[in-house]
Amino acid sequence: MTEFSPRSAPELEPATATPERSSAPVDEGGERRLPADFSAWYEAHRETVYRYVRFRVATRDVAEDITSDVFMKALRAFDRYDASLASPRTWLLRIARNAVTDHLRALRRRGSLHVSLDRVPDLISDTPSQDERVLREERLQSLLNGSRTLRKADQQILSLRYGGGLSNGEIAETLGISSNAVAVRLHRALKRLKEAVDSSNENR
Amino acid sequence: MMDDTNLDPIPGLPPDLAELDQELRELEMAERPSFAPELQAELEAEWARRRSRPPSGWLRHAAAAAAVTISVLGLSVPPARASLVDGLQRVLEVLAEPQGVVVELPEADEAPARELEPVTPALLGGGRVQSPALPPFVPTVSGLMTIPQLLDRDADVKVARRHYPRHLQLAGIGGTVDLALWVDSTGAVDHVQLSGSSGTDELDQAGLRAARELRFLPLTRDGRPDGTWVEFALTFRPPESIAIGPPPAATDEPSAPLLDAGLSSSPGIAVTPPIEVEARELLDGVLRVEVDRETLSRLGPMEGLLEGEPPPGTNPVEWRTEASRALERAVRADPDNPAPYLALARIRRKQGLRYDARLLFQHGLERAEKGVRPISARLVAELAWEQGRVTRESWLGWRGLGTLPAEALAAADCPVAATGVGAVDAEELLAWNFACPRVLQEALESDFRPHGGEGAPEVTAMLASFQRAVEAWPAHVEANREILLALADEEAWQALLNGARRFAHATDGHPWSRLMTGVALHRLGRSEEALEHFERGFAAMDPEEARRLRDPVLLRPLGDDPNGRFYWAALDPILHTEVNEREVEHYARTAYAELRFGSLEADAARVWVRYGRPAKIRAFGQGSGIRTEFWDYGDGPDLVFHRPGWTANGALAPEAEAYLADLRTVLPHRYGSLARESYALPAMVTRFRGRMEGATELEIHAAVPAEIVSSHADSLAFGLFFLGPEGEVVDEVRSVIPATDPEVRALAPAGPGITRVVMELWNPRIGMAVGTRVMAHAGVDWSSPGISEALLIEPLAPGDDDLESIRARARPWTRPALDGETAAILVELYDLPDVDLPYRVDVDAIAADGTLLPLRSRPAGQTGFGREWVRLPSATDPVVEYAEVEISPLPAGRYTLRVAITLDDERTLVTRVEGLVRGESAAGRATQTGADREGFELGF
Repeated sequence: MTEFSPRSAPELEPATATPERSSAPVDEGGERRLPADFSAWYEAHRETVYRYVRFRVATRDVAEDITSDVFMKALRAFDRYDASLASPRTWLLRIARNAVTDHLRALRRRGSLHVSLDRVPDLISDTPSQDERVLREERLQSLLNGSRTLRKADQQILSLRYGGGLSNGEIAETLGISSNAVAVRLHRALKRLKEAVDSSNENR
Repeated sequence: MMDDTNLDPIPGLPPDLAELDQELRELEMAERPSFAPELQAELEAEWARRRSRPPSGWLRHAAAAAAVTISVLGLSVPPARASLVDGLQRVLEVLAEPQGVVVELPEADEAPARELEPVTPALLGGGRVQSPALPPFVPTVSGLMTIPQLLDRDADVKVARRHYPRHLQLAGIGGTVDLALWVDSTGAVDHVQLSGSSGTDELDQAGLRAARELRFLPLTRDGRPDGTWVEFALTFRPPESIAIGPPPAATDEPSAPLLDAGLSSSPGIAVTPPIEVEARELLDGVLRVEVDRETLSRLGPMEGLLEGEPPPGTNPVEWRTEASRALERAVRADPDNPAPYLALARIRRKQGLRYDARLLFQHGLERAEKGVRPISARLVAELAWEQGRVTRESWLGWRGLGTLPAEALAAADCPVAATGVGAVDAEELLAWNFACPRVLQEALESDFRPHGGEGAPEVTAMLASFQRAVEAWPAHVEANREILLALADEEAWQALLNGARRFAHATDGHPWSRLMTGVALHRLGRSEEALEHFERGFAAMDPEEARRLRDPVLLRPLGDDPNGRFYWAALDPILHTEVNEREVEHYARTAYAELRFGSLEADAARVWVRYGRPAKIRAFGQGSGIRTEFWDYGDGPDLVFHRPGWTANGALAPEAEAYLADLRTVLPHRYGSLARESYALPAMVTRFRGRMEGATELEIHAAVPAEIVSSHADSLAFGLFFLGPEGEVVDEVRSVIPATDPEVRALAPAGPGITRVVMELWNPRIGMAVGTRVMAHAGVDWSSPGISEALLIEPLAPGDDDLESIRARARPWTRPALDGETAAILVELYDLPDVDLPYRVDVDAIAADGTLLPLRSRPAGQTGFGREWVRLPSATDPVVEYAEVEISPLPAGRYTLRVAITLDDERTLVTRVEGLVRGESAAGRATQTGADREGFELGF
């Protein structure tokens, strides 16, 4: 009886005569440690930035690319950061916002192929069961897809709250509007998101 | 979960929105586990790189000199892809480090003037214009500054591509336009001047237009954005990828071998490989410095090294070891050069180290995209393509693995030995597939456990790579093909169409792009346009290959005349339309199979062409990397393929190979679902003798099905088509009927040479047709005296008994069932003796089990239902006979009405109305002589 099970890696030919399996370039040495502040930001805010970006773009891969880009830009501009103007999180989210806008603009400009084959689960696998995971993944996809059908302003505010985890006050500061306006807009955006998700479920 | 904040619920939301708010707050979205450490490593490397270059004396000097030059002459930024901007930026940033070197700049206020000389006024709109009055140059401000950078590093290539006049591209005319741009404090290009002509007026104009679309990070002084002049060169490169007709005059790159051997014989089209020359030179450059001459000569020509192929006569294992060492050295010595990565990755792949190969391609890609040295988009594309390919190889090894528990088969009744515990193995599955396909089918339906998700990350990574290749170099043929096939798998036809069009545009109509455009258009119901694209694709291909793709040989029954002229005509599902949708369907399948399986000769391709997309594909993997695929077409045994894990093609299992020989009889050719729909139109058909000897006159009645009446259409196209013996249309009558008509009726005189008559309704708005095909001759007794088929009609209201008037007033029975109290029949009698004959009419219902149930009838002229002899009312020929029949005693069921007319107690003429349904199971309509009627199969 043969049990079919996934193999860990394709093994077609023996690894003949390769002195080193890893072929990544060797680091040339030098000071590799990031500035302590920046390291702390990275630890504290990387996931927030990722979540914010993931809310706005179609796939996990793109979200990761943009997140990398955001931190790379932040590192380059690190010495120009002015704590009196913005908290690190707000500053990073501002860079992220621009990076997402650039990405979306570039997509529009080149009318790029939108391959909707993103089957990469967004969830980590510590959830209870396979079924539960699938259900949650579907729901997450449906929320994200629904969110992308909204207008830009709605997407913006939802991603700042639920992706970036900003409070109403912080959103108000980021967008340059009043806290009251944030509350109203959030309410409306939520309502529209609900409609979008419900209608796409009905159309299935 | 969120790490640095806990959001409070929004107060005052209605319950459903509050629930959504909570759900969104708790949404789990995690990166790949390896993402954080990878990114951290990248950041650290970047930081280390920046710190490891402290400004040396000469560097500071050069930087200061450069900055001063900038301030005096205005800013001079070469094309964004060049490294100078990046380099200067870095220099300035290094200078801004704590050492605190301050470059003294001549002072300039917020409105510096351009002083770059000479500035040629731009030619705009055909006339010379003066430079607008820009603020005068007044030096002020001292301090640090950053210079403008393109927001999108490839923007110059992109805008040039967009604005490149098509006829100049086709003519191979290109050039570089030198421009001076005023980049304002928002980074927008506010003003453009021509500072160096390309030599072609039209290109200069295109450059002036294109440059306005560029967006920069603006110059900053002391952190504040500011406007400045930027010198910018925009290059229009004629497409080198496609050479149509005679080869163009010598270009920078010598001509290179074909990318795809399959296209080598294509007339007029040559697809050059994206990179070979450039990569070879890059590789050559670094190896000559890093590797001694003796080793180099052992490694052989650069082309071989780049392909991972040892020179003839060399021990490949030793060669690869030595080549790897040399390339690793090159990688360390010149880390920004992507070519050694490409070569090393190809060698790793040949060694079976696909994971390493993938990483190396990725590193090469990163180097190529970093733009430290000018790397062409083609080389970037090739690296992305290679990366995608190597990912696909590992993915194919994984795809579709699953298990079927042995218990699922253990209890089943099948002569194949029952299995024990654990999972069924592939050999057993094959045996079950042939011995007890139904049992296996059920077991697969209910108990098959796919290892869901295995390989999904590879799919995404693979597609991302291919997409990257296409974005970098839109004319990359293979990468385009992969993406388009993926879209076709997803049945995303509109996206496929868009993608195929971009592919066609980028390659000036590569035949594959035409084929894929055709596939998409066909699926979108635009068969005429699809056919046009297929034809254009075939025309651009090797004639032999095109002939194979067109040839319906895979569809024909064995022994069928291979030269049958009207093969497709007989299969045309919608006669109203100009194209034959089935022929187009065939092209769509052959085109897809050719691209997917590499050749129509492949087993999988043969099956695909004949049966289309399977309803399901199930695959079982084995440790050896051989997968077994079951293609399920709904009924009959599945077709079984063995497929080595890393190839796209599959070979039929030996059992299936034997089965394939009988396939034409086991499974009829299936057309699958056409994008346009065509359905059978149940109709009542009665054949009367025609006026001409041997000819038939048909009376066809049908109810207009509600499905074909779309809300937008107020009319339907109606057609009556007369077909010859080979299915060709010999004659036709077309008209338009109001969509509100509940039924249609046609009288069709079929002359000699007509074998079939087709009545068809077509709604072009929704792409749907309904039709009925009837034999023209069957069922009419030509002996003397004779009787026609009977027409079932609604009973007439009491009135004029004149039989001609009855025929004129007759309304056919189009109700879905034989319900009600009374029905009526009309028949014609021919060649009767010219005397008054006594005759009687008997009508019987024959139930499905053969039971005969006599019915009471009332022939015309009679006052009550009964079985009495009467005199024929007229001796004119033909005689139209009308009789009412009492059907109320019939229980529910399926019946044939048999009408027997006995003349003179000697001769009985019999005719039948078949397929009548009475009562609750009234699923079908009353149809006549069903055995002769060929509707189209419902839903194919």
